[in-house]
Formats: sequence, structure tokens, C-alpha cells
Amino acid sequence: MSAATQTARRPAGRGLATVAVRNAPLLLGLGVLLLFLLWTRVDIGGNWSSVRSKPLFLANQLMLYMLVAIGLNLISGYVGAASIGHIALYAIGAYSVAILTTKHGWGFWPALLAGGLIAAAASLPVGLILLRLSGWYFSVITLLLVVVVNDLEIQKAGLTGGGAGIFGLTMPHLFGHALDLRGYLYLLIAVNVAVFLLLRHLVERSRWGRAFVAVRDVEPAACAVGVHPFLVRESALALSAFIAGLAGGLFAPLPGTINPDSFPIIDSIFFLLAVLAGGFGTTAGPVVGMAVLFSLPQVLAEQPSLRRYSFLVYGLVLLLLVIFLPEGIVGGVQRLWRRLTGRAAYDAYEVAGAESGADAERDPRVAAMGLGALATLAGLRRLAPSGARSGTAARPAGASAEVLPATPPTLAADGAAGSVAAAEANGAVLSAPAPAALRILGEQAGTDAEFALESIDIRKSFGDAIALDGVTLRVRPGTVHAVIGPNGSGKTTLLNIASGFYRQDAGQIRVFGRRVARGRPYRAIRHGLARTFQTQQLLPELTVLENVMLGCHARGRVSMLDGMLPLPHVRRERRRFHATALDCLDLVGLGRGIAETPAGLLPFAHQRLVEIARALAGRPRVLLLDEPASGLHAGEVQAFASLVRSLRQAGLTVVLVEHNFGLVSELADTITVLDAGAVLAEGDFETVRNDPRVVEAYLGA
Amino acid sequence: MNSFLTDVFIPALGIGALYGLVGISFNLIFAPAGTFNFAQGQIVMLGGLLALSFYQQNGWPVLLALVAVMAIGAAVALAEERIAVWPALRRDPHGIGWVLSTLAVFTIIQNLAILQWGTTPQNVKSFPALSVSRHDVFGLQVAPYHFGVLLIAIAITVALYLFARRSAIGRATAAVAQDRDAAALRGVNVRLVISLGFVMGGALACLTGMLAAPLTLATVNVGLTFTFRGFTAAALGGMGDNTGALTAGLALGLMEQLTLRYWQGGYVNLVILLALLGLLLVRPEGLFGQAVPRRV
Amino acid sequence: MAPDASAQPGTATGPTAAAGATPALAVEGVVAGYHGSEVLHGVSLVVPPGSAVLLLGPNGAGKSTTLATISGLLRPRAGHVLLSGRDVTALPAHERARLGIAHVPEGRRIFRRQTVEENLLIGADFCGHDRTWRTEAFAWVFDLFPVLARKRGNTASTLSGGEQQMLAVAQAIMSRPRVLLLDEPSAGLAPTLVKQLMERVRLLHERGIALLMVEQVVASALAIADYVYVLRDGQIVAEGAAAAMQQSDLESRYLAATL
Repeated sequence: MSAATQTARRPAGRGLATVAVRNAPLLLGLGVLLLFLLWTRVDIGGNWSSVRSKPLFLANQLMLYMLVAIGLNLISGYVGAASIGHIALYAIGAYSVAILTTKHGWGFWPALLAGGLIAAAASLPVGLILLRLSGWYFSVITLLLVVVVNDLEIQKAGLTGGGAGIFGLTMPHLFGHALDLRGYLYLLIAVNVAVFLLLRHLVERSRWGRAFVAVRDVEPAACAVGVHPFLVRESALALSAFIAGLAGGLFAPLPGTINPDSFPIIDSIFFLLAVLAGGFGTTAGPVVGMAVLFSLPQVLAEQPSLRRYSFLVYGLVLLLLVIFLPEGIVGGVQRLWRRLTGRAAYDAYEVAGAESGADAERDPRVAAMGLGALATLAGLRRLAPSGARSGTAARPAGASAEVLPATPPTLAADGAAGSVAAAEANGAVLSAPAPAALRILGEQAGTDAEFALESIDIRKSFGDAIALDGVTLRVRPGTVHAVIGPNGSGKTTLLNIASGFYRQDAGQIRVFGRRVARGRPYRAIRHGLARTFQTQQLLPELTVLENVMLGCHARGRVSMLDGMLPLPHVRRERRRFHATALDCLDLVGLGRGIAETPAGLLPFAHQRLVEIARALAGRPRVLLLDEPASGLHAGEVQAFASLVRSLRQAGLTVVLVEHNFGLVSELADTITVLDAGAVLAEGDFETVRNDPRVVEAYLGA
Repeated sequence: MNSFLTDVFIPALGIGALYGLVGISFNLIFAPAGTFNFAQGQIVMLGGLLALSFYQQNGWPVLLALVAVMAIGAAVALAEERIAVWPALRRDPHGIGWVLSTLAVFTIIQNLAILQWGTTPQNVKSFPALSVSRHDVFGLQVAPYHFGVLLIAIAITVALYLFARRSAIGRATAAVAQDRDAAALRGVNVRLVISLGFVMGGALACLTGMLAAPLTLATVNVGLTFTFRGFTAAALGGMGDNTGALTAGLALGLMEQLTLRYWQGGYVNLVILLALLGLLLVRPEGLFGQAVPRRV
Repeated sequence: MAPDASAQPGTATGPTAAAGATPALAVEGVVAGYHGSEVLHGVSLVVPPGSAVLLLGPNGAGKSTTLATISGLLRPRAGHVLLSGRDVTALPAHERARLGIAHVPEGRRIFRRQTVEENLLIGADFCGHDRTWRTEAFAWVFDLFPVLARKRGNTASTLSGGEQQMLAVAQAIMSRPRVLLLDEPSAGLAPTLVKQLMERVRLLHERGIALLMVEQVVASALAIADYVYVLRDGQIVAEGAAAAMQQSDLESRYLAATL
């Protein structure tokens, strides 16, 4: 298996069958609709002059509700907050169309567009809530929005006709024909398909889709790769509101009359119910869920004695779903499917890894954990051609023997570090990093700044506890700089300030001489600063490749609107990200075989490496690693150490916040010891090791 | 000036106290469980309807009706916690599962109430000493109701404060609100404390509904209004802060009466929503809250 | 690896304060972890009544996980936790606390919005002792930590870091525990405060409360410990009497690599 065949594995051509499979959910939804129409004995193929029949009206309404649900899924499913206000946005769209067409003489189509935009605009202030408060506040506020919009519909009678509403809306014309109910149904089906495909494209293909999921599930990681969480949330909300407004506008001419009773709050809950039934955050969920649930009350409605219980039934179904099937129909099926295919993909990777890494010394437990990066690394090295590297890395390849630090005497003599010593022998085997992969770091050289990262007199306190009391730290380009210290000494606080997650009280952070704004974590990567986290910040459901591609976000240029369309530059960007991500997987030694595995199935150590790959995908100039070795086995620590050495060889600056002193002693060019929020000592390993203050801080002697 | 006092300020106290009580009932649940009960307004509504049945129609003595109403409110909320909230909360405390399941309970209670009582508002006669009709009090033509409700609200707030500080269960509730694991390590049965929060919150919500019934009439339509005002009182006062909720509730009552007098009733909700949005953007922790609610 | 009988797991017989006495706490073959990953791969240790046992190990070795499994915050996948011979593995955390396991987790997790006195009361409220004990406990705790007596009416959040840590320990001993689990009580404290705290912890030990302590500051912890276990990668890799485990020994064996 070579890199070339790997990249060739994604052919462009796709048959009709593939398209059908990819859009199965939509087809399924429409299929259910068709069955529904047949079942309610609607003469679909009949003549076009049909009057307002109830089943046709319901079919139209189902299509509109599907549209709302597709939009609602964006905010509720991908951004992780439940909106109970979509019926209000729907009403705003409907009223906009009604008012503009009946009172201001607008044509239907421009009024429709205006309705969508007005709904989007109305949603934005509500979205501000998401800036500083948790999701449930947003849910309550959207609920209150429904009440207020309903009040206004009644109160502003001059505009809305008050309780009586607006009469006399006519069906719109399309290509010179006045649409009847059946024609309208066809139109709505077309709109649904279009919106569905656009959003699907946005969510699954462009950088914004990954950003949505990341903001929902791992907000810190989303910030670290350059996603502005608030902008993503507001955009998703506005888009979702636009679709709801559009659906409302399309609804207005259907009954010909709209009034406040046309938009009961229960429908808002019904939208949520449908998305939940289908599966939050799944592309197909809203379509499937709405199709299934819309048919349900029609069954009940056949029995007049049951009709009065239909809303009660909604409530019960919603409750049962939350308790017993929280992932919904589609979500449940998807999880099963991924479990099956994901397992298979991982097994295949295991076999491939075992073959290529057969001669690497392996601790049996590491092997059981899924080989460890060690074996893969070793296998990869042999495959890598020794061709010239692109870019201008500072150090020549294959010089790892020289850069291996002299083993500290305390370590060599020490029994507990035996495995460390053994693995170190391995370190020699793991020679140069894959040259092809290193090209992603190819921009490191050529800077004239004296320091890669400077923290200048940083002060930070939490309440009355002083976390950092004037810490100055200067990291030279191309070095590995370790920051160590006892728990609570302020290491992680410093790292969080450097990467913008905390806002320092005083002091500056500079990256290659450029000052970094305080408290803006999503800006850090644009300064060339990438980081990893102590806790797992991967998206377990997404593939390894997609997780790493998320790291490319800040290098993307595709806007959210473009992302919905199959435009050439969108495709180019995706291809570029794809290639970068594969390179990063090579670079960290995981290899490409793992790319399609869901990240959640990987062993812990591999997830760590995927996170590093994701950080590298942003092509940083400084990499901040927050306790990368904690939880790793000895062999895995060594694989990690050789990775860091490779990165340094390529000229990358690495800042390592770490507890593992052995690792630090091996890797770091400079060590800074923090204690009680201040720099206690700084220098190379020997200097620090022999500093009496350090000994005291650690040993309390 | 006198008419401002009798027509705006004093009614605002009584109505505001009701909003404050609903806000406190939200707090009683929010503090230990960390959840907002979307069905709370429906439990308030249930209190009014049950008062209609027990007190107005069946002629039960007021205290018996009160106890029965509060017991049913507690039972409904406890059932909600056991069936709807805890399973969702245990699976994912930060997810939207409990938002949806309490919305489900909202729907269920609302529609059961419609099946039982219909949608027509019905009159509930005043409770003894809480007449809603105006009398001459200290030379002012006012309804004793407003003073009575305010006193009850203050008494409940003080009682809850003492409960939180002086009783073991109260301290445990405060502990669970701050750090569930740490509370469990000190022997606090967290699940029980959460259930108790729902029991107390449900009972208080129903009590408030019963108190409100002579003023608002007993109707299935008041639920959402009480959720609206109660949440606003709790959020403005700082989620979990009972004194804050009562104070904010009184402010809301005043805001409502002023809007009614100087603008129009239909804009009350709009005014309150705008005030709420504005304040939450500037001070997410509310007027009196300490800790900023973190994004989860 | 240099052979050293006292430091080989399996060869040592464990701490034996009184031969034949039931240990205050015994952990037997505990396997535990979070979500998908397994952190402890079969940990066994014993804390005799009235002894002080130190649990050392590098970060990520599973020390805190071990304590969480003992106190019931985490349910083990296999193995048992025995309190004075009684199997408490199936009990939830609050019931174990009532039976006499008092866990002080890392990070000073006191109830910051409540007063010092309320914090102490919460420690005693649910652990089933009568009122005379409560009075006695207050005297005991205030004797140990006089600063808490002076600040009993203050809100806990206004205490300094060291005082908060003392409050956390004091709160735990208000329940009159049989076993006190301390997770890095010295973390983030100034050296003088650590010294103070360690003196107090030693007093507890002398009062007959069994201690299981996770510490970074080895020297001062070693001074009060009877027995030491070293945990690494979720397994006990070394154990021995504290007297036999000299600081220099531990330093080269354990600290040099993992400080």
C-alpha cells in the first residue's frame, strides 16, 4: 500500500446509484409521502384543476413542515440548542408575504424572499443569548418569542388584521400559470429537494459542516482550529430562520387566509418532535421524522373519537422518544451502520499495520491496544522514499541520531525507566519523518523574529487566587520548550492565555513578534499558534480524516453560502484539505489506512495523535501541547517523543506542558519550571535538575 | 398620585409577588437539578384549575383545598422528575434531552387539562381575607388580596432562606447545587435532593396557581404566561436566588402595570422580553446572581 | 531492574499493622475506567486500621481514579472494595460516605457559597452520628485548624487557598470517618502551608483514622506514612514499608523519570 494508491482511492466519478444511496433519506421521506398520498386516495396523476381538497392541502403542509424541520435541524441538531420558536419565524414569513402582497402590491416571489430575510433578521437578537448563556436559556427565549409574536399579530391590527387576520391571498403564478394545489405540491417538493441538497452539501462537504459539529460537541477544539463559535451559531440560526420564514411565506397562499390561530405553539413542539424522531443532527432525520409523525395524526383523525387526543399523543410520543430513542430513527440506524462499517475499517487497518510494522519491537499490551503509533511509525519509515523534501526546513533529514539528547545519567541507571531505555533504542529505528508529509510544515524557515512565542509579564488571577504572577517566557524558533511545575503552578493557565482561551489581567503574548489579542482563542491559529488539549477533544462520530480536516478550517476561504453549492472552488478547497489531512496523518505516524475509521473507535493513544494531526493541519508555526503524554504507555510515549523530534527537525517550534520529567529531559532544548505562578528556574535539563529551588519545590525537602 | 398608588403600584405588588413565587418555584428545581422545567407554568395552571374543582365547585374548606392542591402539584412534579427528567439527565446532563422531555410534559399536562376542564375561563371566588374586590384600607380603595399575596410571598422566601441555612436537607440542597460529586462524598443522596427540589417546586407552583386563580380566573391559558413571567423573574433575579426572584417578580409586576396604564396590554410581553434580553446580554448572571452561568 | 525485595509487587505481604486484624480498607483487583478507556487494570491495596498509606505514581497512572473507585464516584468494572471487611462495591457514594469512607478529592471542592460553619455541618449532617458527636467534632476540628474557628462565619470563597484546603479536610473528618482518602492535599499550596497541613494530617493519623493519601510532595508525605504503594499505568508496580522506601530510592526509581 503506497501513498500514491491511497490518494487515488477517491475517484471523482459517481454513478446514479451512488447519488441515490447518498440521498436515500430524502428519497425515503418522499416515498413515505407518496404512500401517504396514495393511502389518502389523492389522485396524483389526475387533472390539474383540482379544488382545495383536504388531503392535498395536508400534503402541501407536510412538505412545508418538512422544510421547517430541515432548517430547525441546523440549529437544534448541529448547534446543540433547541429552538421552540420556529412557529414564530414561520408566522413571520407568512405574515410578511400576506402583508406585502395584499397591502403593498408586491409580487409573490419577492415577498417570499423578503419573508425569509425578515425571519432571519428577527432571529438574530435571540441568538445573542447564545453568546454568553447556555443552550436552555436560548430555548426559553425562543418560547417567549412565540408568545410575543402572537401578541403582536393580535395587537398590531392595522398591519396584521388582528384576530381576524388577512384575507384574500391568491395562489402564486409560475411561468405564467396560476398554481393550483397539486401544482403547488410539486413546487414544494422541488423546493424541499433543493434546500435539502444544499444544506446537505454545506454540512457534509464544506468546512462549515465540520465547524457546526465541532462547535456543538467540542467548542474549545473548534476555537483552537479558528472557528468563531458565536458566528457559527448565529449563521446557523439565521439560515434556519430563513428557511422557516420561507416555508411560512410559501404557506400563506395555501389557506388563502392567515390569522394568529394558524400558528399554534404546539406546532413548534411538533417540529422539534419530528426532528427528534428522525434524529437530531442527522441530515435525513427531519425528513423521515416529519413524514412518519405527520402521518400519525392522520391515522388518528380517521377516527373522530380519537381526534381530541392527538395532541396528547404527540406529548406522549415525544416523552417516549426522549427516554427510549434519543438518537431518533435515522440516528439509531446510522450508529448501527457505523459500528459495523467502522469496525470493519478499523480491522482492515489493524491487519495492514501489523504487516508493515511486524519487525518493530512491540510490548504485548501496546499491541493489544491497537499496535501503538510505534509499529505504524516504523512501518511507515521503511516505505517512505528518501526523495528531496519540498519547503525549506531548517535541519537536514536523517539527522535524528545527533538530535537525540544524551540520556541523563539518572535515567540510564534507573530500573523503572528500563522500558524508556529500551524504547529509546527504537528511537534510532524511527529515523526521518516521511518527507512527503513534512511538506505541510514547509513554511517554517525564513522568519527574522528572535522569538517564536513570547509571554511578557503575564498576570492572571481567578477571584482572589493569583494563578500567574508576572510570568515571562521566551521561546526560540525551532526549539522544543518545556514548561513544567507542580499541580497548580500555573502551567495550563499560561498555555490557555497564550492560546487566547483565558484573558490575562496584564501582560502580552507575542507570536513571532506579532501581538496576539487577549481572549480570542479563534484568532490564535491565524497567528500560527495551534494547540492540543488535556482532555479528548475529538468528534467520535466523524472519521479520523474529517477530524483532521477540521484543523484546516482557518486556511479555508469558502463562505458558508458557497459551501452549499457544488462550485469548483469549493471542490478544490475540499481536495486541498483532504490532501493536507492525509499528509498530517502520515506525519504523526498514523498513516492513511486509518483515515476512514470513526475517530471514537481508535485507542486512546491514537486519538491523541489524531489531535496532534488536527493541530498540524492548521499549518502552525508554534505547536502548544498540553500534557500530551499523560495516559500513554511507555512505548507510546516514545513514539510520541520521536514525533516531536521530527517536528523540531522540520523547524516547528514546540511548547510542551508536561508532567513526565523523563520525556521532558529527553526532548526539551529549554525547560522552564513554574511554581506558584512564577518562573522558578529556566535552562537546559542539567541546569534545572540541579537547581536547589527546583528540588525543593518538587520534593519539599 | 393616589390613583397611581391604588391602580398601578399596589396591584403590581400582588401580581409581582405571584410572578416572584413562580420564579422561586423554578429556582427550587433549578438549584439541585440544573434544569429548567418547561412544564412549570402548566403546573401553576393546574393549581388554579384544581382550586376551581375543589374549592369553588366542591366547596371544600380552603385549607383542605390548599393541601390537596399542593400535594397534587408535588406529585405531578415528582412524577415528571422520575419519568421525564432523570432518565434524560442521567444520560447527558448537558444535552437537550431534558429540554425536550419537559416540553413533552408541558404538552401532556396542557392537553389533559383541556380534556378535563375545557378551554373556557371560569371564575374562582376570593379566599377568606384575600378579597380581590376593593375595600377601604387606610383610606385607600384597594384589594386586600395584593397585600396578602405579597405577605405570603415574603413569608415563603424567608422560610426557604431559613430552610437552606438551618436544616440539613437545605444545606445539602445548596451543596448539590454547587458540586454534585462533592456533595455525594459527604453522604448527601443527590438523587433524593433533586427529587425533593421537584416536590417543593411543584407544590409551590400549584400553590401559586391557586392563589392566582381569583385574579386570573381558572383557565388552561395561563400556563405559558406564568412560565414567561416566572422564568423572567428567576433569570433577572439570578437563577437560584430566591430573594432576587421575588424582587425581580415585583419589578415585573410594576413593569406590567405601567405598560397597561400608559401603553397597551398587548405589549406587556414585548416589553418584558426586551427588558430580559437587554439585561441578560449585559449581566448574564442576572441582577443579583453571583456566578456567571457557564455555557455548557 | 535492580532487585529489591521490598519493592516488588507480589513479594511483599502488604502493610500489617496488627496481624490478623481486618483491614480498614481493602481494594481487590479493581478494574475501572471512564467511557471507553480502562485506567486501572487490576489494582489491589490494603489499608490497616489506624495506619497511613501513601499512594505514589506519575500523572495519569490512575491514583485519583483509584480513590474515586474506593469512594464510589466511579463504579469498577471488576474487583471489590471492602470497608472493614464489608463489601461496599455495590453501594453508591453517599452510602459509602455514611459507612465511614471520607474522600477529599483534589481541587479543594468545598461549597464556596456557604459559610465555613455550614460547610462543616454538611460534613456531619448525613453521617449518622448523634448531636454530641457534632459538638465534639467541632471542638476537634477547630483544635486541628484554629483558623477555621476564627472564620467560621465567613463565606468559604473568601478563604485563602490553604484555608480552603484545610476546610476540605476538616469537612471530611466531621463525619468521623474510618478511612480518610486525601487526593493531593498539598497541591498548589505554598511550602510553609504544606508543612502545616502535613502536621495536621499527621495528627489525624495519630487519632486512629486510617489514611490513604495521594501526594506529590513525597518527602513530607513519606514522613507520616507507614506503607507506600507505587502505581503506574494503572497497576501497582512497587510497594513496601515507608521506612524501607527511602526518599533517595523513590527519587531514582520513580521521581527521576516522572517528577
